[in-house]
Amino acid sequence: MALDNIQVIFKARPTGWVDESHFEIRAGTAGEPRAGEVLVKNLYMSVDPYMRGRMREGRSYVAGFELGKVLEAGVVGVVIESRDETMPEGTFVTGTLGWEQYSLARGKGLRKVDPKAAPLSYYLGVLGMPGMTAWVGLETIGKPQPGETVYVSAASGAVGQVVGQIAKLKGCRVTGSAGSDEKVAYIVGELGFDAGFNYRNAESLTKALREVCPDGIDVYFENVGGKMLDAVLTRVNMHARIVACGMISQYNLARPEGVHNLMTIVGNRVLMRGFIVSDHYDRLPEFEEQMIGWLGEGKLHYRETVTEGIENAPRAFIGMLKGENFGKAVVHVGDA
Amino acid sequence: MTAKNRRILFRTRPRGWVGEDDMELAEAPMPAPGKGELLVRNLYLSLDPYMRGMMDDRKSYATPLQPGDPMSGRIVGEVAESNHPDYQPGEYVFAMGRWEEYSVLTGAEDMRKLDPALAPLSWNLGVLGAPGLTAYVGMAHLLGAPEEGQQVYVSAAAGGVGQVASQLAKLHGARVVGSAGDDAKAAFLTGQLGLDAAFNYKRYDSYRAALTEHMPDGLDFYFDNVGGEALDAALAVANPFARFAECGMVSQYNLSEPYGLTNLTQVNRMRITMQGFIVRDHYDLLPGYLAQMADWLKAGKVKYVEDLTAGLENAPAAFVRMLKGEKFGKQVVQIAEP
Repeated sequence: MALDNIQVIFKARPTGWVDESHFEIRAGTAGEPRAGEVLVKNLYMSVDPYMRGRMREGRSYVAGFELGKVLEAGVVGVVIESRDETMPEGTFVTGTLGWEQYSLARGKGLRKVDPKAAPLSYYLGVLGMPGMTAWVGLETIGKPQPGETVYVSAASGAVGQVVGQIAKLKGCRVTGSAGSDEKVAYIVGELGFDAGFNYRNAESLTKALREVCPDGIDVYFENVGGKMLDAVLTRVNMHARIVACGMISQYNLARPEGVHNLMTIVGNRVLMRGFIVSDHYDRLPEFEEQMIGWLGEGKLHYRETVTEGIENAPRAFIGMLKGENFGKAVVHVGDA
Repeated sequence: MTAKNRRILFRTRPRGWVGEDDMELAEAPMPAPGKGELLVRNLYLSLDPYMRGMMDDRKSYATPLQPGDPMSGRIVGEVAESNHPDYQPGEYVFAMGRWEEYSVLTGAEDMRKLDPALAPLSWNLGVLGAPGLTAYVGMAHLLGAPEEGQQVYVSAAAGGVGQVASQLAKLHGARVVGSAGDDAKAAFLTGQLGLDAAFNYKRYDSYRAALTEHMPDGLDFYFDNVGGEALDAALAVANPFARFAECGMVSQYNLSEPYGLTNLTQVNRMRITMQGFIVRDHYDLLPGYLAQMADWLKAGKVKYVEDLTAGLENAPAAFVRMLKGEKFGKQVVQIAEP
C-alpha cells in the first residue's frame, strides 16, 4: 500500500521576493520503485540560495523548477525499498530529491554516506554541496597563501563558515561580514575569524572593509554581489582573486544594483571567476577525506539551523534568503 | 643641434574629459648626457589610453603625473650621443620616455634596440611593441586562445591593441565581431581586417542590442578595451565558461562616476573567468612574440594601420581626439624625420 507523502509543489514563479504563496503543500502518495530505482525516506532536506535561481525562467546553470511539480533539493535519506542491488534497504544516501517525505530515485543518481563519520545532516552542509563549494572555490580559484588576507561575505552561512575555517587552516588572516551582531560574534568568537563586521550596521561598506582589512584583500569569497562587490573592488590587492560563488543580494531584485569599480580589475590584475560546484564532482573523494579528517580532529566547527517538518520547508527557504537562519539551513523531514 | 629642447608639460589635472589646455608646450635647455647616460633624438611618440590614468591623482599601475612634469610616453628614437657602453650613436631604440624632442635616458627605461629592417620604425610602438604584445597576452596567452569556431568580441577593435587582438582571434579560427565608434572604422574591420562582423556602437540604442544582433550564438571570449556598458552587455550574452580578457576600460577613464554594471551575476551563472592584466608583467614574452608577428606581417596574415600626427606641438590635440575615439588605428606622433 502506498505511503502518505506530504509534498511541496512549485505553484507560482516569483519576480521579486519569494513568499509562501509561491508554494503549495499537497498530500500525495509515495511511488513504487521500478528496476534500478529505490524508494528513499527523506530525513533532512537542504535549502540553499541557488534554488532561487531555479525559480526564474531563462538560461541558468541548472534547469529551472517546473511549475506544478514537486520542488527539488539536496536530501539525505535512507533506502526503504530497493530495486537496485547496489543500494540495499537501510543504505543511507544523499542526492537531489524532492521537497517531500518519500522520493523515488535511480540508485545511480545517489551517493552513499556514512552515518558514523558525521551527523547525517552534515552531508547537506559541511560534508555536502555547500562544504564542497567552499573547498572547491578556494582550491581552484582563491588559492589562499599563508599570510594573505581572505575576506568572506555571508560568512556565517553554510558556505561562508567553511571558507573562513579552511582559510584559517591555510594560515591566512581571515575576515568576514554577516547580517547581525550575533553572527559576527559567532564567526570571530567561535570560528576563529580574525575580524568581522555587521554589514547592516555599517555606515559605509568601504570604510568597514578598510578597518577589517587594513592591508587590502587578496582573496574575496563572493557570496552576495552588488554593493558589497563594489566596495571590495576598491580594496583588492595586486593579483587578488575573486571567487564568484554566488550573489544572493541580487537574486530577489528586479533590477540589480550597479557595480561601478571594475577598473581595479585591470590595474590590479584581478582574477574574477565564477564556478559551479557540480563541475568539480570528480574531486569529491579528495574533499570528503580532507573534511572528515578536519572534523575528526576538531579543527572545523559547524553550525546549522534546523526547521521541523516538510510542511515548513517554504518558510525555511524564505527565511534563509532573508538571512534569518544562522549557519546552514536544513529541514528535518523524518527519522530513520 | 638646436639650442632648445621643446617639450610638452602636464599643466592641470583634468576633471572628466581632458582638454588640450591641460597640457602645454614649453622650451628647456638642450640636455647633456652624464656618465653612463645617453641622449636620444625622439622620432615617434605613442599615444595610449593608459596615459589618461596617469593624469589622475590616485594609485594606479602607472605613477601619477604631477603638474609641471613633462608628459611621459613610449618613444622610438635615435641615439644622438652615448656615454652608455651598450648603445652607439645612430642606433635606434625604444624607451619609456617623455613628450620632448631630445631626452637624456639611462638605458633602464625598458630600453631596447630596434631593427629598422624589420618594419617601419614607428611600428615598434604598435604591432611590434607593447600594444601588439598586449593583444597577444590577452588573446593568446593569459587565458589561452579562443578555440576554432568560438564567438569572439573585441571592443575598440580598430585601435592599436584591438586590431591586433581581432586578427589573432581570426588566426585561431574564431568568429570575430568588433565594435568601433564610427562607420568607417566598422567598414575597415570587416573590409580590410577580415572580421566576420563589425558595428558602430553609436548607431545602436545599446551595446546589448548590437551584441544580440551580431552574436546570435552568444559570446565565448571577450577582449575588453572599453569596460562600462560594453562589458555589461558582453556579460549578458556570454556563454558558459566564457573568458573575459580585461585589458582596459577606456570608456570609464573620463567619467567622474563610472558606469554601474548590472549583469555581474552572469559571472557566477555562466562560470565566467575575468582576468585583468598589464602588459609590462609579460615583457619576457616580447622576443618570441616579435619573431612570430614579424613573420605574420611579412606573410600578410596580419595587417596594421597607424595614424601619424606630424609635430610634437600637435600631440596634445591628437591625444584628446584619441580619447574621444575620433582617431583611426594606432595613434603615433612624428616628432622628427628618421
